[in-house]
Amino acid sequence: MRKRNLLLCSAILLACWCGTGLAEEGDAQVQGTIAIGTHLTDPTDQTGRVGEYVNQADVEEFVADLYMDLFGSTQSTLYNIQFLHQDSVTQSFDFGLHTDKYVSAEMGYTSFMHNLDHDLLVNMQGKAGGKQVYHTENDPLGKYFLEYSDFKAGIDVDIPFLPNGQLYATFNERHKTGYVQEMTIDHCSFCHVESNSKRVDQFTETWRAGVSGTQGMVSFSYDLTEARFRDDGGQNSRTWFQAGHPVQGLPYDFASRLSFSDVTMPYARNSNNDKTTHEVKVKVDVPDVGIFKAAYTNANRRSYWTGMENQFDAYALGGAKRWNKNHRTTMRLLAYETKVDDWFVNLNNFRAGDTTYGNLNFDWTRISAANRQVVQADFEHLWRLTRSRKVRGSLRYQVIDRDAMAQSQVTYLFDGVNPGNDGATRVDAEPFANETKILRMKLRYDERLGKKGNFNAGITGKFVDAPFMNPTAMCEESVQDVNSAHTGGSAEGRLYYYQRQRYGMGSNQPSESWRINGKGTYQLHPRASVNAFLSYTTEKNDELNIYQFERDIFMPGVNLWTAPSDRLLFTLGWTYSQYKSNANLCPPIFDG
Amino acid sequence: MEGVYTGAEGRFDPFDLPTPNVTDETAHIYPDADSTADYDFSMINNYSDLDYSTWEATFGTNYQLDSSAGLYGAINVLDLADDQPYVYGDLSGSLVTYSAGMTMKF
Repeated sequence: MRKRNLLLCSAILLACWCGTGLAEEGDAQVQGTIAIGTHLTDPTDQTGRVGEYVNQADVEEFVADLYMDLFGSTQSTLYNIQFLHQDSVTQSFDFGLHTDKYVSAEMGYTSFMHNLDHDLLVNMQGKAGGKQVYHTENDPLGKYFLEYSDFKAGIDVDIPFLPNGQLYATFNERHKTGYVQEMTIDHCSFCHVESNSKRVDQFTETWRAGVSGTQGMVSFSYDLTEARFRDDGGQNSRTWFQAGHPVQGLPYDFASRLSFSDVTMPYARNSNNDKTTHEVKVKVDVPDVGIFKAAYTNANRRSYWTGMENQFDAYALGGAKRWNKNHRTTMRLLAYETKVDDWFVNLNNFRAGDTTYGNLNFDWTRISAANRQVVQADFEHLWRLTRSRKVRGSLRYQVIDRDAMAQSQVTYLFDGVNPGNDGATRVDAEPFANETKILRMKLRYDERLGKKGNFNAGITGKFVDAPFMNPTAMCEESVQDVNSAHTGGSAEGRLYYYQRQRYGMGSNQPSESWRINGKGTYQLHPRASVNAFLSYTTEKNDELNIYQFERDIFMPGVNLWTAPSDRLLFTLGWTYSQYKSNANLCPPIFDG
Repeated sequence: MEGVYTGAEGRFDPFDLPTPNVTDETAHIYPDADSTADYDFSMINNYSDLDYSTWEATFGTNYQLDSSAGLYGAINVLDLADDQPYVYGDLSGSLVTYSAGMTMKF
């Protein structure tokens, strides 16, 4: 609030200075508009959704409005100021200054309210056999909202001795504050969903600085970005209940089968983190040959709570050749690698108190599925058939190499020794490395219909070898006849719960995809026009082992516009989207 | 004067969810699939139906006092009808905003 008031005062002082100080210069001109007023909002029933961006705190109050738009110039300077005060939160301010003495500067601020929905959780209740789900709403009357503010400032300074030379620096701060609904799940004996209010106070600061210029045929730029994210919203914590057997209750050990039992811990945490990015670009324009571009990007992200880091390196090369006025070819080559630190997942031993068949170690090291090396080549050709018709075709080949697109669970072998005993064979988590190869082809036709309109139509085909999937996503193998404990009812029967391995591949990514789309605009009358679009996509993945994934997406739309007179305008729009898909479902049964 | 009406509906078709076939391989897991797989998914597709109707209308007038000053007044109506309340409850509601003021050009 203090910052907002400071900006309000700054805006008024700046306007006064521009309106008086600069006006004293010769040939100075100032023009603008000021609107001053008030408004009162009368609510009925629930107003959080209908007034999604209305500041609810100002409803039923007389609130002052102020709007100012000012533009001025002198012999050497142009400047503009815009200011809006709609209520105590909805405000904006923009200032721009352009001189012919190498310097341009701008500053802006905007803030608004976003009201959020409140999940009442009433659907979270049910009972099937001995299993239940229930909920606790600790903030039943809670109103949730986020207040956004964005402040930016920047300055550009021309370098007089370098063609197109420029130094620039910018600062941006985005602040998000308010209250949101956070839910936790307790699985002590029943499924228990609990809802609480959580305060949000997050800000992201971004500094950028760079230089650009041209020397002969070569243009270059360097950009340094430092970004910082902090969450000062405090920390919610709650107590996870003591775990109990779903049917037998507390006397039976159940805590060692779950991650949390009778413990108070924070939840819904956001890590404070920083990011540093370097970016270098070079462009060479060779007359009669073509344009060649190269770029390199290096980024490093650091999480201060976990100590984890992410490294990102990207290389890009490109070239464009205009063969004649009707043909143009573009080629691009991109390679990048991203890698985040591995993370050791330290779990409590399973059935730690059972020294005969339990006390099992399921610790594992997580390898991020985001880690990858990517190489991508693009080729595009534009053919201008006539002045009003053109065809564009493109081809992309991409290879994505991952160390672990998924990992199996830690398990123990049925090799004659019970997993809880000495000599049992532990099987570590196995990373499933894969190399995805994608071939994408696109063809698009564009035509102008004189001055009446235009339309385009296209088709895209994509063929993927080894699309992203989880090889052990679902469906457990039986241990029937592998270990008699399965049906014996003895203590070894507990192994039945975790020793079965999932074998069903799961993915919602296609191995083959086709998409056709079209879009057109036509002037029906000097005072009426219509535009329509259509998109149909059909996809399948036939590389899965237990089912074939299929998905069809159909999206048409029509918009009509007509203005019977200069003072009357009608618009009518209709959009439709239909998704049809399938999935394989192997419902897990709680506790076996 | 300006008015906008928006109607938005969303729904799922009934799920096609057959119970698993009992084969030699799965007979020990589902000895009697018809009785073991006792689930009813026939109503699930109706749980997340959505049906919103929104009206937004503005009635405003300006009166020019002279070449640089004028007065304005306006009424803005926002109305939402939630005909398929979801997990957030019935979100129906309305806001009517009355505004007045003056403008100056220089």
